[in-house]
Amino acid sequence: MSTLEGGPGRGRYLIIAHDSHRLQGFIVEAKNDPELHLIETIGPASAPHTAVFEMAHTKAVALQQGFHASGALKIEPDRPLSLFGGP
Amino acid sequence: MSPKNEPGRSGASEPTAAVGTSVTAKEAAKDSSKDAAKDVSKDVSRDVSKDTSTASREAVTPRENATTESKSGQREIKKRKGQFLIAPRQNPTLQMMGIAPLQFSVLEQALRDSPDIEVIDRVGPKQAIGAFAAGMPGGGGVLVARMAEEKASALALQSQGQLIVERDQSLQLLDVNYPQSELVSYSLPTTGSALTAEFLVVAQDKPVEGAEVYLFGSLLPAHGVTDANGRARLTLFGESASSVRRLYVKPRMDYWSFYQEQPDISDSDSEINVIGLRALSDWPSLANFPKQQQLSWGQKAMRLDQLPPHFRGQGIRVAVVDSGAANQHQDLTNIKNGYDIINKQRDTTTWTIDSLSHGSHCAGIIAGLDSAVGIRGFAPDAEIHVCKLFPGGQISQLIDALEYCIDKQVDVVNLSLGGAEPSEALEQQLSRVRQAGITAGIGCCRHRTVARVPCRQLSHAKPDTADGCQRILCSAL
Repeated sequence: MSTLEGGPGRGRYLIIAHDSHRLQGFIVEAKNDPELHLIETIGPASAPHTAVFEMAHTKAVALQQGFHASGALKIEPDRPLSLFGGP
Repeated sequence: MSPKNEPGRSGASEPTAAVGTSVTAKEAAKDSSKDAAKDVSKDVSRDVSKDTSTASREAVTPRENATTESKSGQREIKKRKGQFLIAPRQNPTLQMMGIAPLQFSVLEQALRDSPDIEVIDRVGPKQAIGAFAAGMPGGGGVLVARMAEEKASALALQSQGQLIVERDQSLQLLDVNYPQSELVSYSLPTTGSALTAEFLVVAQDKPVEGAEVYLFGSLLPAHGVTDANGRARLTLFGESASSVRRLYVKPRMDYWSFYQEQPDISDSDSEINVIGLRALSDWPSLANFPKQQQLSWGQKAMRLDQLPPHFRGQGIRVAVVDSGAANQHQDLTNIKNGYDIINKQRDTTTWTIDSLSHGSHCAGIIAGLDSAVGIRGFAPDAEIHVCKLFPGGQISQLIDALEYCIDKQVDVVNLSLGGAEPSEALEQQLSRVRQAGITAGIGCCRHRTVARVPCRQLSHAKPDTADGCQRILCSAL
């Protein structure tokens, strides 16, 4: 996974985990962090595998550095997609 | 660079005539370079006639035959003459063999005397073109002339290397220190000179309403839609009739589209540019289309007609992750299931609104109704699930769409989309899709040379490099 770039502004980020329990634990902790805004979770309701957060780019960089140590969680930008043959 | 004959695109072959036939015997006898010019002219005349007849025979396609009789005040769109650079080639090897370059003045006179070549400029060192060139071979000047593609090709061929004949190429504004955004033009004029032209799109002597007309110059294109009278008026700022590069007309249905490079367009208020479209049914294999059902070209290529008739997708669930699907369309009324991921916070049922038409197009190919008219889908009995992701789709929403597919126990997912960067989160979800027994068909790169994600993440994808363009359809995850 590529290294995130910091800078001003905010964006949407995906946080994923192979172990759903680790992700759920992070989501619980995130509720107490005013810098993190949970947009949604994806996956079975009892065991989500992906969480979509809005946060400052600098916060994302900090999280990536923290995740790197344990390797249990990963973060990446929620990038736009485009259609083939479309606009 | 030599010009090429391109009979496949132009609507009509250019008229041809001899080049420089007025070079007299007396002039030609003055020196060997004049003889060479005369020889070139004679050969070019003969060769152009042959090439043109060949091009006329080969250029028989619906697009090329899109002609309309010219009426008073109307101009039929066809290809305008190309602009070429012509100069005597300075070849030291030939000079060592005693073959002098063509004299510039002789060449110019020969071209000017040709009825189907229009010399519009001489460029290069003024001294060389003037007094210096008059008495010296070559001279370093370049002639700018308009002529048919076939004429230019023949001229280059028959000069046997003594002439440089190349297209006067359009240049692109490119500032390496200030890359342009795809969305913003830093040099878009909105005032000053502009080309304004009126277009009339007709087919079978009737105006065609709703046809999209695009006019391309060197900056942003002009775009219009024909009204009930088949008319559209376009304004292209910063351009003139002679600088317009391409014209494209896209009818809504039932007719072939029309494309013309270097179109000969009138900007006169008293003259309307007429574009004649041909019906799809004019094509022999589409006779009576759409009134009578036909197999499409793609279906024949994939040999759908050789499948047992009961292979119609019954019992199979196919998800179309795209821009939605307009199930009000007569060929899509069998689609009952969907999920608008973009709008899911407000209303997930708006998957039936397809503002881009791309998803409806894909859904029709996959499962269009098997009615008596039009073209049926490959699997008309399949159960279609529409996941609306565009406009505005992001990786998270694609992951969400794939989650829907897992949840609904879909068998096949069609993904005609991509992104610029790899995503580990998406890769992880694709693994779940595979574990759920779902096959994902991922279209990949029509015009790009690098496969886009998610296809790029699949190690078993086999690129087909035909036409210099990778086309990948990954059918197994």
